[in-house]
Amino acid sequence: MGSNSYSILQSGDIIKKISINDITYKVNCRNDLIYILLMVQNNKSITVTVQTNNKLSSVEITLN
Amino acid sequence: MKKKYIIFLFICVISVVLTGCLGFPSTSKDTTTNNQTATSSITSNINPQVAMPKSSNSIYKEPVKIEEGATASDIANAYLDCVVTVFVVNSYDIELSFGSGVCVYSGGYILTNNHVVSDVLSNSSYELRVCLNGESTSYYAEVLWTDASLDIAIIQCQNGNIPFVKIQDRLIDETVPSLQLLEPVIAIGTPLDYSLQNSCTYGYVSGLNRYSTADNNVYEHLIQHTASISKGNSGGPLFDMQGNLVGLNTLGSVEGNDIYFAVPVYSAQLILQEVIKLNEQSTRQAYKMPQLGITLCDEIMCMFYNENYIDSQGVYVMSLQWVVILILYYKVAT
Repeated sequence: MGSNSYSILQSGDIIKKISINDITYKVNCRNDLIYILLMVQNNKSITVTVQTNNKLSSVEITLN
Repeated sequence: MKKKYIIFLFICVISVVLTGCLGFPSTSKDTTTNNQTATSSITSNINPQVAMPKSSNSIYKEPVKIEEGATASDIANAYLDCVVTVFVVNSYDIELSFGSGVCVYSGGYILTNNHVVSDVLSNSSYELRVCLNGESTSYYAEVLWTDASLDIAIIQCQNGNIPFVKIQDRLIDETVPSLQLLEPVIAIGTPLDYSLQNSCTYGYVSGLNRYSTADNNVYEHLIQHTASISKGNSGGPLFDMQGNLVGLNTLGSVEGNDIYFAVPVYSAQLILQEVIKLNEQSTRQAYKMPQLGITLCDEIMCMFYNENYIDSQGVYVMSLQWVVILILYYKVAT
């Protein structure tokens, strides 16, 4: 995904999928994200794909 | 005369060397426990020496093996010593609460519920103790990782010589068949009183992916089952008929009959090795849970908090920490 497709994650967005090292996981509930976070504990950053108003965009979030 | 004196001296030296090798008590013994705190006992008539960890010759390195075709009785008997009772005591050594736990790795690594150990985290004068099956002595234990929303904690018992079970979360792990409705399960734990330590019950999976609210938390992906549990069973294991640890017993319905819940152990399965690795490094480190810095809400959480939810799929972003917002703006700008 090119840099043009980056957008700011905002409150109200819905995270549908989360991508780690080109592997995409579906996110259906809060626990899914907790599990994914546990899986990516050693990665410094992950890409989160969010869907807002039927538009897909991508942002990168650094784990702290 | 001089020769006799030399022989006498030689015998004395040999005696001293042999005495040391045969393991007579050494004052440094208590300081060699690898960053672990000293052993003590809840009951006053116990000699603390009895509760010292056993010699390394008998340390369990492999999980207890369950033969194919094992019955519920075989599994319960095989795993009985892997299940422990977890106590919280105050600074006067008075027991405040207790639950159950199950050893999941060599070295005394135990899984239990967060709500069993949470008082220790909120009050520094409280301590955690672990009683092994059939023993009246207790050992200090330490919380290594805990998560309230998952209701799972990883603790380490000072006595690392506890047989352990194999974790296999069949609820989410795609490598094994998922749990099925009416599949038999076995619960082991200490209900109501220590005299009932490691009671075993048998039941069936009666529901999957349930959710429940308790202590201002929403627990999701719960396994509903009918293997009877009571107060004190919290944190105790739920096994399938292959001997896999599939969940930790957490909740029970007061009003209904045979409605009990276990949290899946998938999250603990994911991080156990990392927690152990950090704990056993020479510069011992605590595991830090990664955070996205986002407050999230899903359908179930929204029902609990009465928040608006605009989609039944995905996770709703309620708010972002300012650090995350800065990072996101930086990413966009670059």
